[in-house]
Amino acid sequence: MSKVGSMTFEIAPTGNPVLPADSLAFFLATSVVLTGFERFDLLGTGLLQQYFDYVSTHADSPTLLKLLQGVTAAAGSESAVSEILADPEMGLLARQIIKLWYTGQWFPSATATDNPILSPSSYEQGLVWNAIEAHPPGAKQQGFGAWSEPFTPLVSLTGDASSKGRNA
Amino acid sequence: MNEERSQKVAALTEGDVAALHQHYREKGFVQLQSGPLQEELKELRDLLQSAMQLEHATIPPYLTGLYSMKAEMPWNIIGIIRTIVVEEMLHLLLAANVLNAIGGQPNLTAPDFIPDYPSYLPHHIDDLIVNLEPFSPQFVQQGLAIERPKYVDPVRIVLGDPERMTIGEFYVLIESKLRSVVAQYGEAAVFTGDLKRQVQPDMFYYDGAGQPVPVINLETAVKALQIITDQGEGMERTIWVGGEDSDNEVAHYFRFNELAVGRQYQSGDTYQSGPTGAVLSVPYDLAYSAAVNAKIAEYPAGSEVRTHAEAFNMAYGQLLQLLERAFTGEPSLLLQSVPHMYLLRNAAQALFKNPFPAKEDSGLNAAPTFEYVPVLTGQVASGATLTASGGVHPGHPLKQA
Amino acid sequence: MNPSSPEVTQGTVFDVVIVGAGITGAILAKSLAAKKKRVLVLEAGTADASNFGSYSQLLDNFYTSQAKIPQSPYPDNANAPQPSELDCEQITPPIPDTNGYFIQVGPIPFLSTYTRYLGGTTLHWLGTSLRMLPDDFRMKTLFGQAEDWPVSYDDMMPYYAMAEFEMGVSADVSKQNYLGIHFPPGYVYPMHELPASWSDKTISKSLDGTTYEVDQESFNLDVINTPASRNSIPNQAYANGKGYTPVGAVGNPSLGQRCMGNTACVPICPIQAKYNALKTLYSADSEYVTLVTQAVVSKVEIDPTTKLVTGIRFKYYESATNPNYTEFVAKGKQYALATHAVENAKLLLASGAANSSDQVGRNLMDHTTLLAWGLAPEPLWPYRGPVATAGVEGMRTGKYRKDTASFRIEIGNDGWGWPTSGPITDVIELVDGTPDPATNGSEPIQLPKLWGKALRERLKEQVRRQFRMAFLVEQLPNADNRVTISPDHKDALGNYIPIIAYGIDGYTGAGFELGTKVYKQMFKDIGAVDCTVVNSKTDAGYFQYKDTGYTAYGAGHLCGTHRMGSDPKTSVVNPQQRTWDHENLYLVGCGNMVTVATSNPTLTAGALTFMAAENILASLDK
Repeated sequence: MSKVGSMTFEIAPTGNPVLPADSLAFFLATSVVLTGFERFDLLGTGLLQQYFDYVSTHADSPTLLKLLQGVTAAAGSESAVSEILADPEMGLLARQIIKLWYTGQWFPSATATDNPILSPSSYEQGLVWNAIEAHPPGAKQQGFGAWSEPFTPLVSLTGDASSKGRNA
Repeated sequence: MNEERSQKVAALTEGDVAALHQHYREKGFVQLQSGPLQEELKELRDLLQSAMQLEHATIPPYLTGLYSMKAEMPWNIIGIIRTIVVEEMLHLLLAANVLNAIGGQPNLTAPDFIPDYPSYLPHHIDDLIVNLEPFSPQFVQQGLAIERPKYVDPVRIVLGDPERMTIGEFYVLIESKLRSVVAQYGEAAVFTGDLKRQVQPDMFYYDGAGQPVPVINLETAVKALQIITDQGEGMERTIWVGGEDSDNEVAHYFRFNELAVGRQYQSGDTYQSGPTGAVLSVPYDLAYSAAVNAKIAEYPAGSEVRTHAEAFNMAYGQLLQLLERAFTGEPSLLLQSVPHMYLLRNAAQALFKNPFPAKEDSGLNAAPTFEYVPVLTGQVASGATLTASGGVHPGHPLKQA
Repeated sequence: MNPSSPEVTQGTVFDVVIVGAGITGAILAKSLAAKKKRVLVLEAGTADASNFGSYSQLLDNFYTSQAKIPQSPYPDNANAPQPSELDCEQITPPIPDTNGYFIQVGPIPFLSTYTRYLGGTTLHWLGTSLRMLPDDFRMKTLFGQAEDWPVSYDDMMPYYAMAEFEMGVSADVSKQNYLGIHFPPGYVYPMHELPASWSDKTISKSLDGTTYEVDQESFNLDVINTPASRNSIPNQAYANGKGYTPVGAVGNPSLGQRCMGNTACVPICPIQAKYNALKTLYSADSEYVTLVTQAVVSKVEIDPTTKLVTGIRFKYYESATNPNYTEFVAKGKQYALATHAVENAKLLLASGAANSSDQVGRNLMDHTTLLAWGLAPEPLWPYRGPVATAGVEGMRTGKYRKDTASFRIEIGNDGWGWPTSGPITDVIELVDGTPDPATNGSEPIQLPKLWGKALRERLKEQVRRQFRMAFLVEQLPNADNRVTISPDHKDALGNYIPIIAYGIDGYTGAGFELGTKVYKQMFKDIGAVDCTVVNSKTDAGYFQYKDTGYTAYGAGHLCGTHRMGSDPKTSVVNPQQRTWDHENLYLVGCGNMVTVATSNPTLTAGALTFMAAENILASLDK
């Protein structure tokens, strides 16, 4: 058994580290940091397992482990995370993960011509549509006439009730 | 009046009872003696407010079933439940039209308007307890129980007490009382409501719901009430809504039965025969397992799920407030209800995809709780955000095109 | 109406054999069946869209397509191949581009496509349903350009009304009475106009009341709601108070009776709130309509002496993935080709038919589209609602048309989706760090790679301000813009492949030049940052006019290839839309159009087809 930070993992006969059992949780936590969305939002896509499975089979396991461990160890420090993202390999993988959550699409490399959308659901659940306060074309329809008004979320329950009306 | 009715019932002979049954079989209602006008109207308005509450009471349970479905659920299964939900909304609206037509005041924002699930229906109708269940065999069985065509005992109509009536009896009671008070006092004395409150065709549209009936007299009131019962349990002799030559839509009970049996109805099928048409495969695994009758109090304080579930309840309360405003003089506001419903859909689906916090080992996900939240009267309140799952619309009157 | 097996076409003479089950074929079939004429409809493609289950599969194709082009839901079928937007590349004559379905001779690739499925191109169209202007029918007389139509706007009026009913058009008449468009007193559209988008409302605050001058003629730039074949609130006053019931999805009729703002009109409306030809086909009297799909017509057979059509030869294939076919010949008293402009021309050429004028295949026209995109100063909330709900129509005609192409201006609700594949490209650019779009690519300022909340905020801030305008610039009929065929180019079934020669002339170039000036003024009034980029190396539709580079995009319109006229020497069909050369052969669709002017042509094609149906009936009853 080996250890990286708080994560323990086995080494498979191939010589590559096997992702530890709790790496899904670390993947979720890392994704929260990288995407800027809440756990609730990421879980709310219903795609955590699908994305984790895809990433762990399409990315380099040691790099993924380092990334997960690094972001966890950064414990919320933006500068620490920025450093991790500046690393060529970890940064690349981190950006692929961000794009995956935001678009439902995997971008293998800067020059790849095939950037698969993992599934119809991953298209629908792209976080970009939430970020821009719209919806994925062809899904999550907003209802007749909804487009005629600005999209205005109300103030958080935990915040104050002073913001009313149309100002974004 | 109840004293009088009890005495009347006690005095019924066998022949009287037979005549009542005969009349009901032929005409679909019971001939009643009307009491004093204002008392009758008050009773009718109370009954219609109860009808609104009754029609609404099945909406959170049906939405729970609908929104717990995964995107991969076949379109026709989704369609069955969605159509039932939107028809219940139409029923709510029709009940409001009748209530308004007789000068009533629809109220959707009282603390007890939403049942506290698990709950009996108003007046213990059907003696049935209703739960918030995700889509599952239990959900389907519950739907069957709610919508099952129920026996109507005309004697109970004469007794006039809605407590523990069947849903069929409940609506026959309303229709019979309406007819009797109109027969006694004339339509003008009964239908005193402001016409401007009536929801007109095309003010409400939600795929498949059908069109509202503006209620202005006895005929339109009866028509509105019959749509409710036709779409629910179906007509006495046929499973097809609107008769054999309609669009071949089966009433709600039969749609649940299709899911329960796993077959579709086809032409020639009856209540007795059950569905004998094409096989209908129902993949229950394509719905999330979620906590039944979840409550806010069960979600740990400060958890994201709790915050979002609370926001959902606030937004649901805003919807009820929107509907109340629509039903009390601003019917064109109904146009906003559909975008609002879609925001609720997004929020509900996000909840269903989140594990139940602190109960991860149970394998159950969270669910919206549909609990009452007070909303400031007179305005759509601010106070809830549904962050990534969708903002709650504060409500801007769309200019009627 | 389920497709029949091809054997049922044998041993009988139909009243009319119709080739093609898109909108024009469907309108013909329904109109003729309503008069109890027995019709055969032959469709080259498959019936995937007519069953809601397989329609949902088409929707999934769209969800998982990496390039969200108009054809993305509709997979290619080697037996009935269709063009794709992805196939368009710059052409270096004399080497043609043989990338895709078309053999593109150039100099400019033809940029638009059509869909060979039951339901046709209305499966992927936007739904815009504007009438042509009275001026558009008289360009030769008024401006000395193109040719006059043999019919006038007034001739077309009752047929426009029929098409507006059949297609279910939503608009308010009071907004549509401009530039000579007029309606009979009391006319209303079947449904009320769709609500304007927040983007429309915001932009109109800046544009309403502004004007643009050309040669001392002033044109207003007001934002006007666009008539569309998209379900909205029915107008209770329609048809003298009879009202109108919106038609929902085929195979799921309780769905789609109102637009729900899916923002995917192009390429596929998930609920079919947008009109598609299946709605017409499936409401035709099935007792009189025989439908055979997977039947590709290869030849119109003609008696050399009488010049009458004696039969339609078609190749029936069992499966889209297998080129094996069986041949049949279908017979009718009258025949109509409804396969859209390019395929109609191809079929006529393959048959040596209807071409004494030598105009078959010529005068191919699109709306070459000038795209302009930018960032508004305040949020517009794009990527919501129908893809477009309003436009600027004030410049659609004027004296300047004597030497400059006119245009209409469509305002998109779809952000930068069309020009840049936003917002996905915005995500990629912000995550990977690329030039600031506000610098117009000219002196790129490298942005930092964003992540977390900063990414989310920046995306929101930037993308919510995106908008685009599309100038649909008219093309003149040009004999050298044409469809031809050659024995060297055939598809899997041995049918001809269209060879297209196409270019953009100075008239249209002048239109692009004018349009560019207009959009710059509008952007200035809006306070928008112009982010439009013309890429001379990679833009397929790049061309030069007066030493300035422009990029043309395809609007999805294909017109003119068998035009109407009063003179058999210069037209293919007569004013009744019957071929001059063959008494029992009619042609329908956009190929009949003499000019494209500036309106999206489908409504006009629909109207023309209602007109043709009357003429075919008259021929049958003779």
